[in-house]
Order: sequence, then C-alpha cells, then structure tokens
Amino acid sequence: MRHIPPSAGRRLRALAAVAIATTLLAASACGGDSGGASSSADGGKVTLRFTWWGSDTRTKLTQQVIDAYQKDHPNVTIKGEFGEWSGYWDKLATTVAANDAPDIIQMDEKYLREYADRGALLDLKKAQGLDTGKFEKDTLSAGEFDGGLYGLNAGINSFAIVANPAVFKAAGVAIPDDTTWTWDDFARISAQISTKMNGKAWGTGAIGTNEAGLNLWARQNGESLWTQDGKLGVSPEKTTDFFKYVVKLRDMKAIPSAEFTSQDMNAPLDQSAMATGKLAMSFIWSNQLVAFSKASGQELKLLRIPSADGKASDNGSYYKGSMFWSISSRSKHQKEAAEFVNYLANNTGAGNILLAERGVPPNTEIRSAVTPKLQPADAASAKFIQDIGTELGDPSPAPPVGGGQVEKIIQRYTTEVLFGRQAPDAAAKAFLDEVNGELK
Amino acid sequence: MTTETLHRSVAARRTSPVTWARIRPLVIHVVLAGSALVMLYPVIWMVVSSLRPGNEIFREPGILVKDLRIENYRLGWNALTEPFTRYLLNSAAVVLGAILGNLVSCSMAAYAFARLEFTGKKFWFAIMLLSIMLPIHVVIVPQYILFSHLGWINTFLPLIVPKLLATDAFFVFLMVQFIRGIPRELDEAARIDGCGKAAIFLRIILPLMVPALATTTIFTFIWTWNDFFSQLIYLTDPHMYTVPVALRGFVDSTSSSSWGSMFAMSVVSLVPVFLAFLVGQRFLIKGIATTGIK
Repeated sequence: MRHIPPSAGRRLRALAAVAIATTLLAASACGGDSGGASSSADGGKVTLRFTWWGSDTRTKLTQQVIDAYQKDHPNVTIKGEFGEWSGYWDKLATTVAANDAPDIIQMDEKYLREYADRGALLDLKKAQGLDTGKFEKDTLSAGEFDGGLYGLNAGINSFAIVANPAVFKAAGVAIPDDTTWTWDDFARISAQISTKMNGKAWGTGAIGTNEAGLNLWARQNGESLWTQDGKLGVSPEKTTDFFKYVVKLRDMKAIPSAEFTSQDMNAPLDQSAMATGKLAMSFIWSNQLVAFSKASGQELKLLRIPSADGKASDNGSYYKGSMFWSISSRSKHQKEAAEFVNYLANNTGAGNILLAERGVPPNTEIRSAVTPKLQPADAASAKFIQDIGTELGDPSPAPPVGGGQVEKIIQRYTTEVLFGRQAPDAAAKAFLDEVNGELK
Repeated sequence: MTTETLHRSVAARRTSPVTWARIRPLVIHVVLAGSALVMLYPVIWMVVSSLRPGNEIFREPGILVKDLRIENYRLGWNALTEPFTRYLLNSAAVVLGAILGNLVSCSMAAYAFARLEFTGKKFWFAIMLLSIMLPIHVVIVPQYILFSHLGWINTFLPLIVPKLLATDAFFVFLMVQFIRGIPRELDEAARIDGCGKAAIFLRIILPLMVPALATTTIFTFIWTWNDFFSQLIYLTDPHMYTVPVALRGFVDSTSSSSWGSMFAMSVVSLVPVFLAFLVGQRFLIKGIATTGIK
C-alpha cells in the first residue's frame, strides 16, 4: 500500500511529465506573474532555492560556496536541497509539475531538453548578470538548442578509455600510444591482455554498455547519435557495424563473457570490474576517473578513444557537460538566480572551493587558477581535457525528449548480441526502432 | 488364527503411521527453519556487512566476520550533514503524529460506517474502499500543489494532517470489520442505560476494539517509518530529513558510495521496527484474526 516498487519511479516520471505539461499550460494562461520585474526588489531579502544531486563531498563543497556567496550578498539567502540521483528526478518532476520548482537546478544532459521543451527552464541568454565570455568555445553548445541556452555547462567531461597500468604490467603489455591507435589495435591489445591474464583479468569492458560509445562510433563515420533537431541520426548500417565490432571483441576474447558483462553493467561503480582490477581498460566519462581511482586504489590513466584511421583528431570526441546549471522559468527571482549561477561559473573563489568535483571548469580562467590545487586524479582528468582540446570534432547535440532511456536500451541490445541471441543487423534494427518509439 | 494375523497386520500397518507422526513435526520444523534462514539471509548479510570495513563488503560473500569493526556505526552516525539522531527524531515525530491521527480519525470513521445510519452510507463506503486502490502517483501532484499553497512544504504537516482526516482507508476498513463483529446487544444495553451515540463509541466500542487499534498502530508505525517517497517529496531541508530519506544520502550511483555506513545505519533504523513488531506481534495476530481480513 505504501511501498513503491522500483519500476514505479519510471511510471511516476512519465506521469509527472504529463503533469508538467498540463500545469505549465494552465499556468501560462494565467499570465506571467513570475517575470524578472518582481526581482527588482532593491535591498529586499531574497530567498533562492538551489537543488543538486550527488555525494556527501559535493554537498559539503557546495554548501561552502553558498556560505561564501551569502557573506558577500547579505540580502540573498540560498537554501540548498540535495538528494541522490534517482530520488532527485522524482522530486524535481513533482515540484516542477506543481509549479513549485527550485530557482536553481542542477540539470543533467539526459533531462535537459525534456524540461526545456516543456518551458520549465529559463533561456539563460536572456538572463541578466550571467556572463559566458570566458567559457571555452564549444562548451556552451551542449546546453544550447532551438536558439536558447537552457543549461550552463558546470563541468566538462569527455568519453574516454580508462586504463589500469597495474593490469597492463601484470600482463606484460605496454600501454599503447592512444594518439594513433585504431579500433583494430584496441581489439588486438585487449585480446592479448586477456590471453596473458588467463581468466584473472580481461583486456577491456564491452563497448555498447553506454550510448556514448555508439555516438562516437557514429561521429567517426560522419553521423551522430542525435541530430540538432532532436531525431535519431545514426543509420542502421553503422549501428550494425557497431554491434559487429562488439561481437568481434567477444570472439577475440578481448572482453569478459556475456554473463560477466551483463552483471557488470548493473554493478555500482565501486563494485564494477574496472574498480576491482579485473579489467585493463574500460569506457568511462573522464570525470569518473577520480571515483574509479579511489575505488580501485590504483593510479588509473585516461586514454583517447581509438579511431578508424589512427588519427586522434578523427575519433569524434567532444566536450560533454558533466552537468548543467539551469534556472526555473517560474522563478520569482530570476536576476538573483542568474547572478548566483554566474558566481558558480565565473568566480575564482567559488572555483577554488568546488575545484573539479563537477568536472573540469569550462571557464578557462578558472580552470588555470584551479589546476595547481587539484588532487592527482582530478589533475589527470583536467590535463586530459586540456590535451584533447585541439582534436575535438563538432559539439554533440543534446539528446531529445525521451532520449534519456537510450542507455538502458543499448545495454539490453548489447547483451542480446553478446549472448548471441540476436544477430548484429537484427539488433541494430530493433534498437533503432525502440529508440524511435521512445522519442516523441 | 485368522483374527491373530489380522491383528498383526493391522498393528504392522499402524506402526508406520505412528513413526511418521513422530517424524513429521521434525521434518516440518527443519523445512520451516531452513526457509526462515533463507529469508533472513539478506538481513544477516546486512548486519554482518555493517561490521566489516567498507572495501571488504562485496569481496567477501560469506557471513562470517573475521575482525569485528564497529567504526561503520561511528562514521555513519556523523557522515551526513546532521548526526543520525536528528533523522531518528524526525522519523519518530512523523510516526507518532501519523499513529495518533490514524487512531483517532479512523476509529471514528469506522464507527460511523459500522453502526450509524446516514444517507448514502453504502455509496460513501464504496468510495472509501475505492480510495484504497488509488495509487499514490495519481494523487501526489495535486496534493503537492495543495500543500505548497498552504505553505506546508518542508514541514511534517503534509505527512501528518491527512491522517487526521481518516485518509488511510485500509485502517477504516479494518476497524469497520472489527466493529461489525461486536454484538449489537452491547450497544442496545448501553442505550437503555442512557448512552448516546458518542458515549456508546467511547465507553463500549473503543475499549472492545483494542486489538484493532493495536494492529493499526503497528502497521502505521511500520509503514510510516519505511515510507520513502512522500517524505522525499515534502521534506526538502536536510534538517527535516527522516531516516529513509537520509539513508539514501549514503548511496550515490554516479560516484562511490559508503556502503559500510549505509548498512550500519540501516541496521540502526531497523531496530525500532523490530521492537515494534516484537511488542505488538500478539495484538497484530489477534487483530487480524478477529477482523476477518486475510
């Protein structure tokens, strides 16, 4: 009666999404009482609500920044609301639907478009007091679509390969030159490690456990997982090639068994095969390097994603926003909210507290100020982001509404292919059909 | 001769049921104890894991503790923004409010449905039963809007006040069934002695329905104590977090989680539920057996 089964979270989210749409419609009919006008309260007390998800470390750091900001702005009170990932989205959906959204929202790429398309987020281009002049080129576009900026990049990420030097050493294999390696090299080296380690460890985790792998594969072939106007942009042929490569890795024994991989997909980070030293390499987001290093107790290394032709500049890498700052379109204090977001993004003091906990700062000045203070793993991922800066392809469009499900879907089809239950071409077709069905 | 053989064969046939009758309880007990152990394994594993250093938790599948460490409890107690005592107290406040609300309001509603005559009684009873089947997801957004207009977000009021309006239809139904089992003659006798409807409720029905009240108390306790979703939605300030909401703070799927602390605090949060069940178990069974709810 009281208990909500795990699957209910999804149902609720879908339901709340419907509710968001309806309430927003209703609310917009009543006229915009929430515009910037009411925020002109000169000297008046303003209370902003600021919500984020994340670990306890993040909460402590963020609270320090809030305290520092309040000291400089005695008329502003900021109330932090935080929670862990899955509860965060249920709660946000409910509060937004009920027209009681927090003013400043930490947003994820997966849901950014979903909220923005329904008019729940403010176009930050129109916000006063927010300066993006110092941001590195291309880092803004991740939160930009339909001519508006709905999420301000809060930290840069890039899809990468994480390597465990200890496993390489145990296998007697040298860490390859990641600026020139190809997918064939990657498969060969991984297979070599698996053979040498003989069941104690494997060369690499499977590609295809994350949609970013397919996106990079598509980008290397002149396509892209999503198009700018929010559709699927990858063709069945390239998706088939992708799944064929998954099969190739399996047949060469470059990756662990299908059973092992499917279990590993669902393991929490600190119990995953990479963190427990059973893999020499795996696919991760660069800001996860810290967590993986901590969990494995090893000094892990980031490598570039292989390319088809051995040129790192052709591997399709892009800067992803690890997360975003968004402002509620119904906020009564949009100006103050924008000023606070500006502080988070552009103030050196804030940067020195937050460091790279949310990803490498996109503001180049903050980044150079912060870099010397970083812990080794953070510094390594910051250096990686800096190094690949000259090799990037075009920015990757944000996923469309409904695109948030694609990770689960691709994991399922990768599992099907690994177990040999579906041929690559059949899996590719079914995968694309299912993703298309999710898009509205 | 023939009768003797007959006797003997009967006796022989009888011995096997006799030994079976002796073995049967043993077999049943072994099977039951075995199943109970299987059911309890996750809980035992959790208790054991809470006594292990964090990095050993998922490496050791067994349930034998080699070196007993209680540091998870010490660390977990203070790991979040507030000491865990705060969350326990918050949960206790919500639970107490919910129990009081349910006891007062549900018993009154149940008395009305079981004993009083009013227009549309059958209709309202059906509506009440229907509301048991209404999933929380349907009502959560309208409720949230209502409570946010009242300015009750981030207080315990949205979690307690509805209970004062007999919204937990399950308990109303449970008590209605119980009151229907109380002989009407008692009411009539009280009436002859000059009791009004209120006095009958207070002096006759209420004292007799203690088992149903106890059942309600225990169920409300367990359900409210374990309720995660509505507490997550309505409580936004970390000072107001309850135990289930706070527990989720230990796990973050996007980075590493402090499992040891979480298991330790989970064990702590299980203790009140366990005690409540231990104390109330007798009433619980009595209440359910006498109300006809299976």
